[in-house]
Amino acid sequence: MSSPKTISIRGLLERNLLLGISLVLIAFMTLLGWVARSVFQDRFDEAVLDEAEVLALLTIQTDQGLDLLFSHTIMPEYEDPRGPHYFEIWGPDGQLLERSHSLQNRKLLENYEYFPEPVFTDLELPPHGPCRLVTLSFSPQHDSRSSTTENSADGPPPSLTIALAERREELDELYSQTLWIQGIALLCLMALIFWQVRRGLHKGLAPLNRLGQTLASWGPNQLNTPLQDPAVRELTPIINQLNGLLKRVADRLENERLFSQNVAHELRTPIAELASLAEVGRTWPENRQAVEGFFEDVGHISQHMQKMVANLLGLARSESHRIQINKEELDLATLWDRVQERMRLLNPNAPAWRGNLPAVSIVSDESMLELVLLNLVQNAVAHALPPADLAVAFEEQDNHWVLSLSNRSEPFTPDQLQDMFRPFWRKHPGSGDGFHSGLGLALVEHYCAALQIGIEAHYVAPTFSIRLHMPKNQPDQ
Amino acid sequence: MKLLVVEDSERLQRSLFTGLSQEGFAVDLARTAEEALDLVQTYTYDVIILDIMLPGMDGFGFLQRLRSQNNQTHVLILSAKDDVQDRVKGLVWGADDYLTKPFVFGELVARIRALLRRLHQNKCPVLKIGDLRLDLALRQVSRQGQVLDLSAKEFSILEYLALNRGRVVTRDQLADHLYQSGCESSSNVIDVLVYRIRKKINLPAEDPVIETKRGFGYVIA
Repeated sequence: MSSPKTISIRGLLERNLLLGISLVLIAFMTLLGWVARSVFQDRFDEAVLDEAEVLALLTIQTDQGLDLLFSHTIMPEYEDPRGPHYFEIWGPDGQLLERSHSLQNRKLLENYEYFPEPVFTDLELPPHGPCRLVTLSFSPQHDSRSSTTENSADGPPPSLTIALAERREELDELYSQTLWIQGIALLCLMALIFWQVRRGLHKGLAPLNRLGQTLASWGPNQLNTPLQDPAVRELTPIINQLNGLLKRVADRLENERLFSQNVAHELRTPIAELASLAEVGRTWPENRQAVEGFFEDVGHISQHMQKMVANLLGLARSESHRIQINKEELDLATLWDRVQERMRLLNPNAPAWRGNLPAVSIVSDESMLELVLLNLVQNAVAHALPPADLAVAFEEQDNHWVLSLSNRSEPFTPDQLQDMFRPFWRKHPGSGDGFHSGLGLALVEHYCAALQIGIEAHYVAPTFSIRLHMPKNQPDQ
Repeated sequence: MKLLVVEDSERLQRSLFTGLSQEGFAVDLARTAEEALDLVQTYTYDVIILDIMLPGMDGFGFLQRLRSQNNQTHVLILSAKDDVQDRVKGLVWGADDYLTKPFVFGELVARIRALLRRLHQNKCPVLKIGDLRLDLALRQVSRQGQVLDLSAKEFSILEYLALNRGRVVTRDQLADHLYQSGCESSSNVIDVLVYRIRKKINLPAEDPVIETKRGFGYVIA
């Protein structure tokens, strides 16, 4: 049989917290990276666009045609084939009007296209790597000094398209640095959070560990010492439950201890009797009459001890629910007659019982119920004060029957009426007569519980009575 | 020596009575503390053997009542209660010894004898009267190294006289310590027993160990 898999609260919390926090952090860092990349890209695009717009502004429409004001200016960034800047200006008729020296024999656009809005694209410009390209269509400015009246009447000047590229190595390097910083920050944060989570869990679960250690060192003698409340809100209900459990265990152990003590005590007297009889009989064997009497006593003692052992075993079986119950339909009057018959055999001089039981049919275990009644009848006969006034009565109450056995007796206090069902209880502690084991009523109570019969003891001077409450229809088990 | 056994177990009473009688004690029996209180008011006992768990008044109650009546009789508690608290309680309330059940009969007898020695302020178990030796432990009498054959009753009379050496002991006192209460015994029985003892222990040429005080009783000088 495989044992259930052990889980660790600490491990579970650690795993879940770290996984959750890591996911959140990664998501946050990814978003941060995306935002940073967008901002850098926008800034770069703005710079490229500004550059393109400057060139567009410096393109003038004159009467003679287009005048590129910057064509005579030395702009070193457009001269070197390594860049970093490149441009082309296309006319609407598909003619390439101007291009930077840096482009050499490469092209930014294959042909003229019209771009009402600036369009940014990435472009691979061998051998110097990736560039950012902006393409924009614009109308060149008119030269105010030229006489363009007739031309202007012809309509707006034709749209040109400028394509301007700039190498983006710096931008990509910035991206890369940002990513590195983010990664390092992520790792540092995760390490910090891991440490903090572990520390927090260790501190948070410390009262639980302490409780475990305390309980591990708890012995049977400390069961009556309640566990200290560690003033942790979550643990207080557990501590309360544990204290309740400890108290129940302690009470149970105390009862068992008391029970064992009682058993030992009950055995002491018969053992003392046996030892004394054996020693005296062995020392003076010539006193035959006494020795014969001793043997008779030994017989009685062994019977008494046998009865006690049988009752103890009955109690143990009953407490561990190992009693076989065979319910059947019984006639109460017949059962009562049989109990009376057995009582006459046990004690021919026992006084007669007043009253009788009706021929009512009940469902119960015959042998157990007979044992219960016989025990109660024996007790009544043994402890009744003369005149015994033994009486049996039967009545119907609501949905059950009440069988009552009564006799005249010494007074009982309410506590005594409750305690009398405990093993080895005696009204007078020293009244062990050597014939009654003090277990009869305890056994009766256990058997009644197994048969679902309620049992109560009452005393109304001068009468003591035991009432059995039997349900009319007992369910089959 | 006269003992009172207060014990509610009839079987234990029977064996104790037989055994202690065979040991030469006069034994009275009581089942309850109330019965025992009646007996101690009527008779004098050397030792009371007392059970604690008795029907009605328990042994502690009996002890309290006994001591409140200024009765100084030695009490040996013989009980199944073996808790230290019970033992302490018994001794504090006036018991002289405590023995728990189950017990060895020989130990009970030895303890009774120890209490008797204490009663007579005699720590040595051997009493010497001239060259007569009474070994109270072995229940043996010897003279000049020769063991004398005395019956249990004879030994008891000699023991009682020896323990009360120098005091005159009446025939009634002797009968009281030799027989259980309610058992009628004539003074002649005591005289016959004393005669037998004398016959066994005296040497012809010497003064008798036990002297007769006419009208009073007997004395060992």
